[in-house]
Amino acid sequence: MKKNILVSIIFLSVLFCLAGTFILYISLKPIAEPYVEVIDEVLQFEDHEMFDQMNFEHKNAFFADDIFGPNGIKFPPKSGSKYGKLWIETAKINAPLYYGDGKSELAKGIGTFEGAYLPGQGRTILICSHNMGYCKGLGDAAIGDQIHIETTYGNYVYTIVNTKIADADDESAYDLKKKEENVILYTCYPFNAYQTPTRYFVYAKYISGPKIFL
Amino acid sequence: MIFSNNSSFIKKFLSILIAFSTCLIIMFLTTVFIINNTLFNKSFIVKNLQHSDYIETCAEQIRNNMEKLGKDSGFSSDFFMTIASKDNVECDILNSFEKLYNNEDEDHSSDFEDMLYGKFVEYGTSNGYKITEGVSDNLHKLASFCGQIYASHTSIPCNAQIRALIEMEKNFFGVYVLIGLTLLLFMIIILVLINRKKLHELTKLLIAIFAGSCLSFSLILTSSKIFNVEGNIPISNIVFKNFAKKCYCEIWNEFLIILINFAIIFVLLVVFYIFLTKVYGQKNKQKYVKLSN
Repeated sequence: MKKNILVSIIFLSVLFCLAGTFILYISLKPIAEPYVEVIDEVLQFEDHEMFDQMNFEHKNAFFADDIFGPNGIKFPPKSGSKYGKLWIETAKINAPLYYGDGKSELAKGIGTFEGAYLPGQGRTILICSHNMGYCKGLGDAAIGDQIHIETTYGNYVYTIVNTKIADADDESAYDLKKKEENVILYTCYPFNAYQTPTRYFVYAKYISGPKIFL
Repeated sequence: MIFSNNSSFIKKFLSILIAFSTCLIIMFLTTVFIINNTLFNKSFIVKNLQHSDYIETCAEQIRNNMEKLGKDSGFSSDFFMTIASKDNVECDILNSFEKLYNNEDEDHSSDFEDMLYGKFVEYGTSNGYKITEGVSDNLHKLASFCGQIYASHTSIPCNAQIRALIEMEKNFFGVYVLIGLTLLLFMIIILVLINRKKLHELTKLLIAIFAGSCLSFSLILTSSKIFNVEGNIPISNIVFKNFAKKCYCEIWNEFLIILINFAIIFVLLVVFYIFLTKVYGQKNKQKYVKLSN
């Protein structure tokens, strides 16, 4: 009798333990799993890679009147000034590059949006031109083709990874907060249309070029 | 056989089911209480921050980053060592956690950058540099960058999301506990009603409940040691990983304390059961003697 009671207590205890643990596990796992998956991404300090790759010609650069880039040229360029050129061989695009994307800059060449970044800064560079002008051949640029940007402070190469047609107001077409160097080149679409609300976007990733202090 | 006739079988089956549910609720409530008193408790987090190497490692990382900056920008290598002292960093980190748990916005004042700029100008003038407008601009930019480094190490990543989680837990904790305790009370009342004439049967079920809880927590704690959960925490950043390990150890200890308490209750119930069995056994003996007489 005593043995039976002992066996029944042990049996019930083990049954409660195994079934209880199993139920707790399957009920808590879906709650905890999403947090476990993202925890490593979340718990990071802000990326300061750029910081490791500062490249100053002069040791006392901060006590000079200008910040110098790798070739000792003043950075950033003056707004509205020409600071380089851009070419894509396959699309037969070869144009001067200006800092700014107003009427004046686009009339003379390809413009760089001042609200984004410049080549070498490790972020998004937003470049545009008129479809009837320097970028009329942009549709011929294919994935894998290279975009060359030669600046007063260094030469950069990017590879096209994607193209897209989107509305000019479509904010999902460009990510200015991306924390890696990339180029977004866009023009009006269709290529033979005048004053169209649609844009043709070309996305390129960084291949080479000197990094600049942000 | 444990079960003899139909109505007795149904009562026993129901008792076992309710006892199992009670065991589950006790385990669930215990887990919720521990999580509430640890991860969602400001004092627990602050205590572990101070006892782990989190603050010291953060201060060291800030100084290292600033020292690299110093080397390339014309400052002597030890200039930035004085900027981020352990006390300043500790104060700012604890302040960030205080605001997190009080659901307050992070303070992004420019005090640190202004202080830095002042030190840069002082360094420059003491070393014979002329602080022109261009130089002043450069130093402001440098101070801003250093401020970003400092802020990123002293603030909490994904602050808004974690605050929302803490607020949600604060709002729902009481509800969950109330529901859990109500259900627990309800289960115990039903268990008592079903077994009101069999105190030893009720005691046996209570023993099984606490033994089951003890075994479950023992299984969880032992397997977490065997599978080295502490060493396999999926965080690559060494600062956060060490802090997480410290918190994990403390939580593990909390569960161990609960396990010991449950074990004590289990032992007391067993003693009570043995006492009941002896008293019940003696009463039956006396009844038998009376009947035979």
